[in-house]
Amino acid sequence: MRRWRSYYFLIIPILLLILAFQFPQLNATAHAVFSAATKPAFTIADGARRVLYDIRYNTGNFVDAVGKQRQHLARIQDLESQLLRYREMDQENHRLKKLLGFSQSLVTPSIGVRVIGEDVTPWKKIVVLDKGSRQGIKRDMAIVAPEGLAGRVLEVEPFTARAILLPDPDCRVSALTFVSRAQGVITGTGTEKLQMRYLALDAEIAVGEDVITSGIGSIFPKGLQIGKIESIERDGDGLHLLAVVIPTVPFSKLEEVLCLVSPPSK
Amino acid sequence: MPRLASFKVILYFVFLMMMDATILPVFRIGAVYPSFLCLFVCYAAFEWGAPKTMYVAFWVGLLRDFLGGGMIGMEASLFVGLAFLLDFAVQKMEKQFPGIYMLITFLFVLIEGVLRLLLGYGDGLPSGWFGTHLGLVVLTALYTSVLLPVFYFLTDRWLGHKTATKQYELFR
Repeated sequence: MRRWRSYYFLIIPILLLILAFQFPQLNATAHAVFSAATKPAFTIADGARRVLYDIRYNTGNFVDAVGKQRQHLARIQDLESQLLRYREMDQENHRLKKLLGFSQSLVTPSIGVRVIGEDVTPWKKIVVLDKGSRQGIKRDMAIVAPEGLAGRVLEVEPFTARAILLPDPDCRVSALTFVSRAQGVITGTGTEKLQMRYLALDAEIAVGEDVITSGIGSIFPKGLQIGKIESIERDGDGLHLLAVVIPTVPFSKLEEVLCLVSPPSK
Repeated sequence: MPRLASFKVILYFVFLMMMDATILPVFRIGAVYPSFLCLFVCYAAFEWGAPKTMYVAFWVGLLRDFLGGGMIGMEASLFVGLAFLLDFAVQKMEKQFPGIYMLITFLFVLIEGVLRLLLGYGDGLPSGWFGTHLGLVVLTALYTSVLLPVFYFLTDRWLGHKTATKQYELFR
């Protein structure tokens, strides 16, 4: 009897899967309810995550602080906690100023959002954003960082949104090489590198050349930096060239980004 | 062994979900970071036995379905299916062999990752990167299994571990 009870646990998810395939709207609603319910927990966990990020990427400074602590133990213990907080605020300020400066330089208006969660699959690059449709986020909005294009909004819920980043294998962006003006499509590979596909065989592209958005497809504005070409080879089909591109945006350290509000001019 | 429908266990599920989605990515090495939700399934199999493992695997899979934004039930089916295998392995394993728990955890996370990878290829992952992705899966399994002692400590503290030796103490 107990063994049969175990099999029920296999039947239930399969039924759920069939329901999700049969009724995609039900699947989307369940995701929306889950996102709305877990947003407060995500927001709280995001505070801890930011502190941990700060500690991880400031390990050098932390070691210095430990050296000083030996000399001025009593004083530094008190000051160190303040310093860490101020440094975090300073870095946040710096990042936000940079983002603000970038936002003002953009022709299209934008909404600043924070990354509060990530997909657990290593090759998927889908992140959870802290704003949703109630704050004006819409599906297919371009996501940009000061370094360049980061991705686009995939799904929108009332209080959160899910964005797909360029390294995700399902992400496609129409792109252009900056000097030779060769057109291609940027696709993610699930790793730190991107691929630029469907380049013409006679395209005079060079290693180190910048890759920018082409503006075709009406989602991404023209001229946003994507990355630099690292290597070029012939594609498997033999009809096109394929370039491996190093993205300019540091995707593993993405904390704040901008969502471009209005679509680019067609 | 706690009652699984208790508030303490539900809160622990939420805590592990938050760890997986927000905190553990901070400790990434390259593109690899561990999953505490996977470790919870292994913990349940090692400590609680088959019926509770199925329950934990189902909820872990469902939470990962919600976190991933895909079809609900996909990961849950995968996890429950693998929990049957895990339970079988735990019944057959030689518990005195050092490192057996870590080895089984490693294999569990590895098989789960490989199956998800194959499903991903079926869903349109670009070909030509299989080796790289497989490497990511292996490293994720390795990183996750290495953290098993930490997870045991954390879970025992949270849920309260009662050892069987206390039974004998009653008859002293």
